[in-house]
Amino acid sequence: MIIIQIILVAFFLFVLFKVINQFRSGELKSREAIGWVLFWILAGLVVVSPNSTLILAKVLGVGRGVDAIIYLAIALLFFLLFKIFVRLEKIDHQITKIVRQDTLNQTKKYEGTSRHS
Amino acid sequence: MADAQACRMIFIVLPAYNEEPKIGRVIRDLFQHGFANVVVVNDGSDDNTAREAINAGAIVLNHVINRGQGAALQTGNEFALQNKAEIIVHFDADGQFNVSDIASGIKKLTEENLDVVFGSRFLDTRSTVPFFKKYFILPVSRIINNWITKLKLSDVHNGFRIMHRRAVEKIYISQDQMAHNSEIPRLVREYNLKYGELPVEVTYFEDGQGATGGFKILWDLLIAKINK
Repeated sequence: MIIIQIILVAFFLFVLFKVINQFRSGELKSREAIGWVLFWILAGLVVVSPNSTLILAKVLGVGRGVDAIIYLAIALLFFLLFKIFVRLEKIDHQITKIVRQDTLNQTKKYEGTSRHS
Repeated sequence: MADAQACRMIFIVLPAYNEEPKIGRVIRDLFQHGFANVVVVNDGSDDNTAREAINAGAIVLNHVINRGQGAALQTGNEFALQNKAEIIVHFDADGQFNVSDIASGIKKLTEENLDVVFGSRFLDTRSTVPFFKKYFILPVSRIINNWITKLKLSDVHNGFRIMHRRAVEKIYISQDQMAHNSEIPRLVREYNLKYGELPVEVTYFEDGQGATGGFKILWDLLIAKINK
């Protein structure tokens, strides 16, 4: 095993450990946790045996296994970025709703007196 | 606007973010024109906007944190509806509009039985729009907006508008930032509301939205479309 493989595998194990911890503390749903565990195990396999990606490359019609992985990784990153984006937008709207509710609750009902007319 | 009873049903909503130097004068001007209900939505200002507005006699609603002009307008709308407003006017807190335009707008709304009256800078010659804005930014944004909203307006992104209660009850402003200026015409069309345009005077100050502001609006509209 070359050094980069050792470093990457150690890093993936660390991330796996984190994922499991997050699942235990309830921060991750079981479906998400399984997805992430599978993802990092697969990533580990690819690092340990880079030639395994050749199968994928052939299926996708890309020359080298590494290329196939990079394409997929970029696609995945964009997808995750998009998900985060949508989520942020939703949170933004929720914050506005809370702020508005707070504002309206704090304002005493205005009776519309004609003090200025 | 001599009829005090009628004025009670009219709510002027001023979204305000850091407008301390100018807001007091605008509020006093509105009162002098006989409008009894001036609602300032202080959108998390860092300065003394709220105190100035209270001193001038306005009803002040405070957003704890800044949420944007669209969000402030929606808060003002909901407050006005809760307090039985018949007509709601969106006006600017920095004094760029002319208060005397409100009366003619309300007259138009009631006489022509409209749901919404949009202010326009281009229907008379009172407004001196800066060159770059007039001949570049606004024509481009007009084309884009008319395409997005499918509503032919001579002036897009004019913050002056007068709405009847029945329109405000239907229109929910979900665009927290400046894109509400495109969202409202789009909803007017979607709900088949009757609308008209009113010539209004706009006085320009140095600040305001440039081309980058326009891109931000487009971006917000795009995101809203994706999120739908």
